[in-house]
Amino acid sequence: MSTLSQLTLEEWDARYAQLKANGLEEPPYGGPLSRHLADGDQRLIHLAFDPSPEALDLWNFLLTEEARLHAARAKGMKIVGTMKDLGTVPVMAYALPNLIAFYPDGAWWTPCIMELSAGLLRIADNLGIDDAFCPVRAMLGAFVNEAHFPRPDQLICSVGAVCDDFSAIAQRLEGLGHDIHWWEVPHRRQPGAGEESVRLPGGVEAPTRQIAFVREQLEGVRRTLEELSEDTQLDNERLMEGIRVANDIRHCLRELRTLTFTADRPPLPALELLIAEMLAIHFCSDRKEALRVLEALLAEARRRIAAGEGVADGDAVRVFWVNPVADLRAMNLLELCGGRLAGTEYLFSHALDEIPTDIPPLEALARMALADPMVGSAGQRAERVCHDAQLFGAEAVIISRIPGASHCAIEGSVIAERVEERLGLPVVEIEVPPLCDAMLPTLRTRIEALMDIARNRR
Amino acid sequence: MKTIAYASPYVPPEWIAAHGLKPLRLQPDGPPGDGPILPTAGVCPYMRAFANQAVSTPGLAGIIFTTVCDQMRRGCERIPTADPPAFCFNVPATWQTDAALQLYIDELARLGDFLVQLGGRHPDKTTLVHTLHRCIEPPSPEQPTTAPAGIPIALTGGPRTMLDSSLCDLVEELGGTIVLDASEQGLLGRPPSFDKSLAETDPMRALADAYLRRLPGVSRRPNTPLHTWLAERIMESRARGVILLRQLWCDLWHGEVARIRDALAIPLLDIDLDGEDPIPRNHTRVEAFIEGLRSCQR
Repeated sequence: MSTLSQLTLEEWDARYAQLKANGLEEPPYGGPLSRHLADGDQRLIHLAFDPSPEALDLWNFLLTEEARLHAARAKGMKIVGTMKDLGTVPVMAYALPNLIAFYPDGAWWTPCIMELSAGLLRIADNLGIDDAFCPVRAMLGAFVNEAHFPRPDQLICSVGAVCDDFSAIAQRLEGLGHDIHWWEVPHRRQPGAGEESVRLPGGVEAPTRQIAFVREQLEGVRRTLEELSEDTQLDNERLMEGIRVANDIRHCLRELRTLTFTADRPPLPALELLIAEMLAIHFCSDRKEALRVLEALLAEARRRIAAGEGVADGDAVRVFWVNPVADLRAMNLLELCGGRLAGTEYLFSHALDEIPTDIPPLEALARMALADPMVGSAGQRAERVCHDAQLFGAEAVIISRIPGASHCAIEGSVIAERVEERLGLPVVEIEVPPLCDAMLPTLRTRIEALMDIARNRR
Repeated sequence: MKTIAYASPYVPPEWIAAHGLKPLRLQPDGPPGDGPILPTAGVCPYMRAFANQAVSTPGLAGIIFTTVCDQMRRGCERIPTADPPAFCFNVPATWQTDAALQLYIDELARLGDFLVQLGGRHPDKTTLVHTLHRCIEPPSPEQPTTAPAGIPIALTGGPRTMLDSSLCDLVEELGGTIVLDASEQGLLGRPPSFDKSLAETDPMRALADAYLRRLPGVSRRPNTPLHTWLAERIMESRARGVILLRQLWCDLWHGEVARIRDALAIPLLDIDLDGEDPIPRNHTRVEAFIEGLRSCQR
């Protein structure tokens, strides 16, 4: 039994040289992690990384997405920006051979990765989208300065039961002259007495009528994608194939999560698992490679478990983490404070559940879109958190508030109350800004206090 | 007659009235009192004031929230299940498609079932047509017949509490005259006109058409018609300055401030309302704004 040390960027460079000398084979986007510093990715200096070559591929894959998008544009592919869409439209877009989808909202991590040097938040400030909004406002800056991703050929944005921050920012973007195809996902309500309903992926119920509405919205998205593709029909056969590949990725991720949450020693750190989960939303602009990277991570996780290796001690406190963090460094804190992951809910649990394959594809995607935890009640989201926390044996829960996010103010307290009532677990709420350095002592104290309470309850 | 409280202009009072119930667009007194919505950072003070006052107002038979904003949608969830019961009305953000219109109509039907549970009765077509006819001519906006005594100022923005409205008195005290209230508490919250012939043949559709398609709103996607409407109203009003009042943490209005300011040929003063008395922290700003407008006039 051994505990693997996470590496600093400098240590990774030394390890990289050693691995190369031993014949490390890498994908075309491979290379030492420190080369990304030249692109301005200064945050890497302050992170601690998993030491495996598989994790190296994961990071390199993530940090080269912009280059992939530019290369796709150069090859004549059409680029679709899928906004506020956690895992639905990319499944459709990738079913067409000449389209590539990406997630502009992902720019919310740019201020963190580049330690505010890109000036995206300043651009958003100047456009009236100041720090009362969620850090996803960085996306607006990225669209304006065009220094990150290429201008998409088509923007598709979900509206309705979404957070007001994003809705307002997307509307601001449209006001600047970017055409947007809006598609609506209504607030998922409880079916009325006797009303026909369907059980969605993830277990919640939705009225059939609402699913039909979303299906019709997705028909509109399908037409838009077909027009963009010009010469290819997005028929059910192509959609089913797209769903099948998406499910392969979800299966792989599900196993990776389960192993990480349930092994005696966690085979992956919290930070790398967060990045891996994010791949499921939009495949990091290369669906096939996303699956390969995840499968390699999964194989490494299995190997470590078999070898009795892990990134935390066996007695680390098992923590369920709610919401993604704006600063990746916050995830390193978990292991530093003596914790480990035992479940996550990063706002897109529906994008990890299997998409049904025994029904027409748009019906399946509509059900999945309506299963989004953001479009339902906070109570239902809290129920899923409780269910998964119990399933993975969590001993404590961290709710990470996203600064300025309209949903966090009420949702956090609903989840905390439900966890305390249902499971009796200790809960702590933290707020993580895009650069949390100044708050690290506070964050660390709060997380350590939670660890102490959880240990005392054993 | 039982009273049903609501806040959003997207809830048609005609529909409530047609069920034999009394619609009340509740403007909270403010500041937010005690109640199920706690004073948490990030919570809209207007939503908190509305929800907490509605649950503590004696005699209300029901409360209607809407999904127009995240804050109201989530606030509804914090209301205890009964006494009075709350209903979350799903207002689509998109408004140009038949599907969105049908969703709104379906929601009206669902709201109708809720109202019946509270003691209302389903209206037949004749009753609904009659109710719409009574409202067919919405009150025309007040237009000043004579030149305003003070500096003409237009208001826009979201909803406000009675306490927030004290800022309007302050504007007048400091030498301004409010010639247009194009906020959700004013014209933006007024019931729109109905299509007369549609109201005869299909009153439900006429209701949905009026409220979903004709009421320009900040939450609609796209919301370009709001900007066109606002520019026209402000030009008609001959206002020399605009005051935009928005609730703290209201992303929807906050996100539009820069766009509205860019589109206007006259100055705009952006004021956020935090639920407390707005005068102490805004007196000087309003005073300077009016003084600046006056100096431009000279």
